[in-house]
Amino acid sequence: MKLYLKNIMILGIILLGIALALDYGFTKVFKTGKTVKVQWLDKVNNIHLDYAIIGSSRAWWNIDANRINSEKKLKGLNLSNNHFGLNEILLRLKRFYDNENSLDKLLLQIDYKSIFSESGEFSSTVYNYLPFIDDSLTYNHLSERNSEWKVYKYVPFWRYSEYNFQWGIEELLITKMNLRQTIFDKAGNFFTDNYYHGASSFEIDSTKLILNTDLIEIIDFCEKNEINLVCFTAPYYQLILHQKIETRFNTIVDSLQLNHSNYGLIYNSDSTYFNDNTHLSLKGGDRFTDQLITDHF
Amino acid sequence: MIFNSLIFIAFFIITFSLYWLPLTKNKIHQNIVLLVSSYFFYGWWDWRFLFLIAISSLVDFYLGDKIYKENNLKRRKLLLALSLCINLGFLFFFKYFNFFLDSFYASFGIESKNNLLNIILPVGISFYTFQTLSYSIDIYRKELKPTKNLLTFLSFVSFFPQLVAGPIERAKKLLPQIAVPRSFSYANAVLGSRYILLGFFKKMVIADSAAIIVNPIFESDATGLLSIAGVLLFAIQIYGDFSGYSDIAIGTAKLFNINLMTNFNHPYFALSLRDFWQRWHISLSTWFRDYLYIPLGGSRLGKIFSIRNLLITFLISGLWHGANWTFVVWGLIHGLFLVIEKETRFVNLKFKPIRYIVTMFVVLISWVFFRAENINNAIAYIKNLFNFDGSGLDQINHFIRSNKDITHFGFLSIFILIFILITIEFSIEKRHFFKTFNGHKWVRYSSYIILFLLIALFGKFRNQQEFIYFQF
Repeated sequence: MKLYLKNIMILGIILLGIALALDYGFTKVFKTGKTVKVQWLDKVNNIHLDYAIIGSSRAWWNIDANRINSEKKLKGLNLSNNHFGLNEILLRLKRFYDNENSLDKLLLQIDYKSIFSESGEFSSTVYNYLPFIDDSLTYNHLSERNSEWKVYKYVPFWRYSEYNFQWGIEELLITKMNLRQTIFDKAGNFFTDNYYHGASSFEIDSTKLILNTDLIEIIDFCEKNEINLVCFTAPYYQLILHQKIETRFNTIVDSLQLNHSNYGLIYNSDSTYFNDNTHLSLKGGDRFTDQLITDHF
Repeated sequence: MIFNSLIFIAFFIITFSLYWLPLTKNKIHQNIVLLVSSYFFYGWWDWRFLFLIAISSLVDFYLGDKIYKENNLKRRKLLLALSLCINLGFLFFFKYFNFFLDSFYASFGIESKNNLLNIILPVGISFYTFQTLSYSIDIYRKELKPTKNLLTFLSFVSFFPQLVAGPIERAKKLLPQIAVPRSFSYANAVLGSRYILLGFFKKMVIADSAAIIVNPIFESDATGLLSIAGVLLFAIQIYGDFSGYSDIAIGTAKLFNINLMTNFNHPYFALSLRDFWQRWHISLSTWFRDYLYIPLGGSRLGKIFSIRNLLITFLISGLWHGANWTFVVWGLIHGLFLVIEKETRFVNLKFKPIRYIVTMFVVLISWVFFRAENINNAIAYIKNLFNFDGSGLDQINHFIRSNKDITHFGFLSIFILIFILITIEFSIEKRHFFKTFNGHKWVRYSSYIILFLLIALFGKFRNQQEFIYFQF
């Protein structure tokens, strides 16, 4: 038994050494990348913005910050990313300020889904932050909400094994050899096309209408940093909503005294404005950018 | 609780420590640890089905003893029939009741959805039922003495490494090992650890990576090259999945110094279907041979009966795998080609590549039935295998681009990983590697490290796929 345990221990020590070296190497390479939006956002530092747009893909696809900048002579970025929930938006804002940035106005996309999602709940793409957990702010934010992140930080290479479909060998080669072109421009915009792919059903569980408290933290953060917070709900192709949900949503918006513009139904059922049920097309995004310029700049 | 989960690793470390820590060769202590941990392991899925295992075990423990003591042949038969009825009754009810009811209604063109019972299939019921059946039958045949120790018997039936997906152990082999105190064996522990490592590689790297590509191919209308890739990858997936499970089970058992039977012996190197069945799921094929084929008369009663017995055996073997006509067809294809093989003296063919190609062709076509949702889908898929209109690299390219979980790198890397697996299998089959492997410590350690690295870099850790054979 002793010999067996000794050999297992020797192997364990060798593997631990390899894991530590790999963890270090992978992290170093991934931090140099800029083609994944989180990598790019992490490199935005020492700038002051007149405004920023933030939210999930609904605030990202085809909304043109470049046009807002040129027409209104402003400096702004679209900080949104696919699947961003309120929890990750809060983290993104914290990181943004931690990188010595600041901003005057924040256009925050909120909707019936995000506002009633579970507080502290991560999106399916939160693993984007894995290479950045050496940073204490990021780690504290994530580990306070899910203890799994403690394992990712303290068990070497576990994070890259568990998520090797994203932060694995393939991404390492892409980053190291600079093989991927960014899908977003210098202002963080992402443009698709005018093709309508059809609508999938959009449902919200009307029994769980509890406010996601990350929204309150975002409001507090904006107040503390003197950011003018403007909330908006991006357009839907079609929205069939339970009256109870709409009432509860409006009650929350009123009670938090949010400056909120609801664009949910402005292009109702016009497929030329959409890629699918929840995402604007190129044409829809162009028109919606006009709307934002008129209403908020 | 599945093997490729952190909870299993924690469970195993605790069980291993409790089993060996006292360092006393105390059988009762060791079997209590095995029994409690095995029931915990099984109850992790659904504790209610623990009663089923317990009842099945108690029935066979009691009836086994009765059969052994009974001298009257008629009564012995009656007692055996009782054991068979109870065990197969449970199996029939949980696994086949809805299937037969559905088929009955369907034969009259009646929609059966509202008439079916809401039955959950207990994990591993087909495996432990066959294991307990062999106990009663062997006692009836006077090939085995029943154990007097209930703890030993309960530990034998529920032994967690092989409880839910085999190997299906014979009481003759496993019971004597559990009936005596075990001492730690360094050689067995090292061998067991190697089995476990290779098992995890097969399951997490090969099978689960292949599944990501296989599932969307079988759900699409793939033709030509893509559909061929689909069936080839499914063959690898099911082998990696099931033999990986068996390796982990065998390895885990060895760490308790208990030896389980070999369940796979490089089946894709088989040169005939007969050879294939001597290498694939050996514990099941030998079970059917000993408890069904030979009792039916085997090949002793002439050609016609021999063919009948072979077809019956493979039909039931197919049905054992699942309550679906696709499995029945799968079994019949194998049975039928075994008959053809026998009648044409296929194994006497001197040119081995032809034997290999024909064997693999039958195996691959039969896998389509095994994988498909229903017979119509299987037939459509097989037709698509030979349809090369508009298929080719463009189709594969489009397939990769339209599936968010698949990348060109991932698609290519699975084939490289399969090549590594084939190299390992070939080295073991031909025994080329053993001398170097056993002779040099650095070769052994390098091999372990490479396997660990491959698992870390390519293994599927998130949303692990359950082992395919759990559903059987």
